[in-house]
Order: sequence, then structure tokens, then C-alpha cells
Amino acid sequence: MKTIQRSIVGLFAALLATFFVSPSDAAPYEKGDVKLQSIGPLATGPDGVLFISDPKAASIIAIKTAAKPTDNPPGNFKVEGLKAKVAAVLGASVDQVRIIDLAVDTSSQLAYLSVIRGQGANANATVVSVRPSGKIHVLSLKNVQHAVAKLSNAPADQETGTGRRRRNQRMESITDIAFVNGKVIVAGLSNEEFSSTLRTIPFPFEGSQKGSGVRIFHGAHGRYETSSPVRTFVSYDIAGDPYILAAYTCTPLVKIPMMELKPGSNVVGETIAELGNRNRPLDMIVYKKDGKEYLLMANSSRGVMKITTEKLGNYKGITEKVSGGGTKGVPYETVSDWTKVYQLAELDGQHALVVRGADGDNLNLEAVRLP
Amino acid sequence: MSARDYCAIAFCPFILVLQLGCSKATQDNAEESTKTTGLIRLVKRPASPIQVVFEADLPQAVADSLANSEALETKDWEKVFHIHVDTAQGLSWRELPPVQGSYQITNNRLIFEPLFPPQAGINYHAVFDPSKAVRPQAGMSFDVIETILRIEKPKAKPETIVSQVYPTANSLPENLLKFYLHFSAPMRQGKVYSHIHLLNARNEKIDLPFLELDEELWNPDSTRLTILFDPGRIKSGLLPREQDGPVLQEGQSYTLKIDATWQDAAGAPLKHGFTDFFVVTAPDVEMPSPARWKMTAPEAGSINPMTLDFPEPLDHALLQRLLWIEDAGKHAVEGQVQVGNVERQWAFVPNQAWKDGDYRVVIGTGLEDLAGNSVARPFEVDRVQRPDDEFVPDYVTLEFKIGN
Repeated sequence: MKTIQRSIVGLFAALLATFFVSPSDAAPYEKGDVKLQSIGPLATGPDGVLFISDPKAASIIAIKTAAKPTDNPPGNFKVEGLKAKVAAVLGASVDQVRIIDLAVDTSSQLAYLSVIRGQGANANATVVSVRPSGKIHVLSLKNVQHAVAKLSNAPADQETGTGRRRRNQRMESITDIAFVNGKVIVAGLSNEEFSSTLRTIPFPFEGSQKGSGVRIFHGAHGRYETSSPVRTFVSYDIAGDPYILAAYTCTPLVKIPMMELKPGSNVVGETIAELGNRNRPLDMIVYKKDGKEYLLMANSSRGVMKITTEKLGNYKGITEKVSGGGTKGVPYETVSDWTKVYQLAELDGQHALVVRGADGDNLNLEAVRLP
Repeated sequence: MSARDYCAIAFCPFILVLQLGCSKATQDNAEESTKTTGLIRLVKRPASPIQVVFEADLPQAVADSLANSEALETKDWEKVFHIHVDTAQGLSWRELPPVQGSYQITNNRLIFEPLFPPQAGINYHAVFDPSKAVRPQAGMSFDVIETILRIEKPKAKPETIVSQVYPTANSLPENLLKFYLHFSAPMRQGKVYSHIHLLNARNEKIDLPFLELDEELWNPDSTRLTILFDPGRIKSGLLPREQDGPVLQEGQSYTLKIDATWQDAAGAPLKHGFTDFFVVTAPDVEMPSPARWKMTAPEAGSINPMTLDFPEPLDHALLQRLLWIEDAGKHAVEGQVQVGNVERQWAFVPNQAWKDGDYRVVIGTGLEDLAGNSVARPFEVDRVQRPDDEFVPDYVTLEFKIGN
């Protein structure tokens, strides 16, 4: 969903490595066909790596793409009728195609979309690449360099014996993934128990390692604490320390120090903003402009919100009840001319690439100057 | 440029379907001495029931010429033979990129195999222009041939129904967390929330009662959808609840309504809609306590069920996954789970007759009641009253004995 390449703080990386990485069995890419059972969010990593999530297979697949650096002028990217054109390449009508997520490889200026074509048993999960020129291609997953990390399922699934019960109906949707400081971070949401797990998988993937899960909670006003599935997140640094900024399904925006993401631990995110009702956070990016770092968040009903991240560092969080309506917490501004934005990705230093449109079936993919 | 004929083919999964002679060459260049025509068709591959390819007969001159030239690449073939989705809505086929696929030549036929099987019920506009493959020699011309091909869609009969909605109780707590909607066949995914409504006692629709997740929480078969109430309106102290209050209110009655217009995966609407009436009781903030469950052990030698009766309904899905029986050797006993009595009873029928011995019920502490309170912790922990978590293992057990 986002390309986030931040400087690694050596000590931090070493510390995390002791928690998350078993030093042996580092597996290189293998060459072969990748068959997706389903598809969820995407993320890009360094050197043209594309991370594809497959919720049904409970896997993250890293594909070594052959993307090459480009000299495309900044901000030169516009595809009108995106969904119709993607559907056309896939040989389907628009109503049979769902665009799940957008990721951008900033070096090659290639945009990737995770797409599902068709329904039921005939559904196909696929990735299409879109060039700045508008050329759309299905990413070939035949005989590609790839590596797979399996996600551990709920603890119960590992110990329930075999053949004892009907087929497991549990499935964990993947709500967001990102590559941060050498790790793939995966947020998930179960279709059964109401819980939230953030998984951290070191990359390159280890031979048989499963993602380490951390249970995420939310404390309302320092008092009422519940499990809180994460809908979307980004990473950013506060004074050199990496943090996760996450939007929960119950709407608060929270910050979580990455240092706290230790396997088996329970982490309570600190509320820094409440976004109010009738509003769903959809996607977030962090970018720099004039030496300052900003957060942009697309929402279902409040447009795109812009927050200065330097304020997040000093912000003490919300510990009292919000009353009288409106929103509370860290101040933000609404970017008025960014309307109907569903997906956000960083394109180059000055532009974001967004999926936006008047309605669900008439979307455009276009570069917009960062505010 | 070209004459068009519209041809429809019946789609039959096991018969080689050919569509012949639906195209004809243009007559624009009547003075030309030589005319070369070809035919385009959709062909079902006998080896695979879903593999359908587009074929064009190559004019002999083109076939001869290509036999002596180097192989063309896909991007070149796309200029020779391109297939476009051609629907009445939105962009015209000329504005859309061609369908992606691969090309091969077999027996003087140019075969285009799309990456995904053609979709039944839509038109494909095929354009065959042999001149893009070879330079016409003197006195020879190639016509551009265009045709529209389609696979007819069998009329889908509305047969799928909402087979069950859990919880089944007709009184539910104010802080109810979720519904499970079960369907008799795989359903269409995408935009599901437009088909699901919550009505108050005055039959008015409640605005945004559910958490509308783009991910849509389906089971692997697309036959069960989990619907979560907006947790922002359940949790204490959050802004959505402060602004609008809880979705469900104690003492009120509601109807869950599912539209018949919701399509199944085959594209047919539901056979009929679904409604479920319920009244709302006080919020449930108690954790399920296995110590309060009533155990009924069967007799040795029988295949009677081992039953657990709960003082409150528990989560239907989790009852199937997070409860099981182990023998003294800690091996799971094979058998079938039946959840009944409005999810207040769990019954386990073994595949083989019970033997004498010590057994235990294993309970995953993630097992929840209808309000998301699990055996491990309540949905909402009041940190003022309970500042620290007590250690709760992932599993707890209830021991029982069969026979003497």
C-alpha cells in the first residue's frame, strides 16, 4: 500500500532482530509459478520487490519484479476510466472486477493494483501493473523469482487435531501491509473472533518462519480497553524512533512504538485523534515537504486529512471524554480539492498517486501534487 | 471499414462450440484483383471445459509468408488480431485496451488464448488485420475483418436462499457484536452492505449500523458473511457512541432485512429476501464462565452425545472451532459437533462408541458470547476497576469420566 523506506536505526534493528528473526535458514528467492488463492493489499519494497497478500492462503508472497528506474517526469500519470480499462485487459465487464489495493514502485513509477475478476469458484486473483503512459498489463506470475511467508493462524487452529471437525470456516482478512525497516508488517481481522493481530515478518523471509503476532488493543480515555482491529496504518519516525500510526476500525487514530511489537505481547495504542462517526479511514501515506513530515489520510466521508507529524511526537493523547460532537485530538486540515479519494500511494517527492472517482465504477488513477 | 455480423453461440460445457461464417470481408476494394478472407470464431477446448480461445483462419498467403519469417512477438500479434470487451455501458471498445493473452499458430489458424476464460453474457469485438503481419505483395490485399462474438449466459434461476442467521435467539443484548449470515450457495462479493438493512420498530432504516469493511468477512467458500456492528458505537466513551448512541437500544425491537436482489456467485438474485425480528435486552458485560456450564456425559458403549449447556447463547462459529474433546492420551476424539437450543447447547457425537475412561473438554479461551466477551476477557476492560490483566491460558479444560 505504501512505499516506506526510512533509515534504519542500527540499535533498533539489532534489538528487533533478536525478537523476531531466527538467524538460520535464510531463504533466497526461488523461481517458479505463483498461484494465488485470493488477493488482498499490496506493498512495495526495495529493489523492485512487490509484496502480495493472499488472505485465503494466509501468505505474503514477495515477487522480484524486473522493474527498472524510469525518467518519467514527476507527476506525469493519469489513467481515466481505470476500472473499465483494467476490466478490459482481463476480458471482463466492469461489474465483474474489484480493485482491492494500489501500491507504487517509486523508482520505476510502476503502479500495481490487486484485482479480483469474477465471483465464487470462478474468481481469479491477479495483479496488474499500470505505467505512467496508461499501459495496463497483467503481472505474470509464471516462472518468477519469489519467496513466500506463511502467516500463523489463530493459536487454536494449530492444536485442534485432524479430521475431527468440518472444514475450518475461519479466515483472516488482511486489512493492510507495509514494508518498514526491513520487515513486512501485516494487519489482519478475523471473520470469527473480534481480535486484532499485527504481524511482523523479517524480509528476506526465513525458511519456515511465520509472522510474529502482537495483539493490539485500544484504551478509550485511559479507561475502557478493547481489542481493536487495524484498518490501515503507516510508519513514521519521532526523534529517530519508528512508530506505527494506525487507524482502528472503531475510528480512533493511534500511535504505537514499533519497539513494543514483541511477539506475544499485548500492545495498547495511544489515541491521538478521534475521527467521529460516519467516517471510515481508507488509506494513509507519510511524506516530506519543505523539511517537514506530513500524514495524509483518505476517509470515506471527511475527504483527505493532512496532519503534521511533528505534532504527533509531543501530543499527549486523548485521555478525557469527547463531548459535544465534532472531532478531537491532534489538529488536522482537510485538503478540500482532494475529493472521492479511495487509495493513496507515494509516487515521487512531489506527487501522490490516487485512485479517485465520481462513483465506484468510474475511477481514475492520477498523480496529484502533495499539499 | 468492415461489415459486422452479430453471432451468438450457445454455451454448453461439454461440446465443442464453433461459430462459423459470422464474418465477411469488406467490399470496399472491389477493383482489387485478389480477395483474401478469413473467419473468426470462439472455440472451446475439449481438454478443459473452461478454456475457450479465439481463432482466426490465416489467409494462405499470410500463412506461407509467416512460415518463412521470424516469429512475431505478442505485441506484434496484438496488432494483427485483437479482441476487445464490447459492452453497452461506459467506454466504447475502441477506447479500451485489448484483452491480454497469448498467441500461437496451429494448422494455418491464429489462436488467441485470453489469460482468463471469456465471460459469458458479454460481447467481444474481434478485429483481424492480416496486413499487420505481412506486407501484401503486388496485386494482393487483405481485408480487415471484424466480428462480435459472445458466449450466451445460461439464465441463472433464483435458487439461493439465506439459510440461517446466527445468533438465532429472538432477544439479543444491546451490545451484540455480530451476525453470521449463512447462504445455501456461494454469494457474490463486493458492495454487500447495500443489501443488508437494520430497521427499527417503525420500519425505518437505521443509518450505518454495521462496520462497512471493504474486505468483507466471508468464509473461504463465500457461503457465510460476518457482519460486525460498528464497534465505535459499542465501546464506551468513543466519539461515534457519544454522537449517535449505541445502534441497538435496550427495550426496542428491530428487524434485520436482507434484500432478495443480492446476487449469488452465478449472478442470480436470491429466491426470496430474509427478515429476522428481535428485541433488545440489557448489555451483556459478563464473561462466559465454563464453571457454570452443565455437562452431561454419555454412557460407555453408546454413541450418544456429550452435551454442554450454557446459561447464555455463545458465538455459533467459535463453538464449532474452539471446543473439542480429548481422551486421557490427549488425542482429540473424532466426531460431529451440533450446536442447538439457540446456541445454548453444544453436543458432540463421536464417530465411534464411547469407551470407558477419563476425558476432558478443551475450551479455547477466545470463545465469545454474543457481545464479544470471551472466556479470557470481557469485550471491554475497565482499567480503573481492573488495572492489570490476570494471566489466562489459551486453553482451559473441563474433566469428565465415562463408565466406571
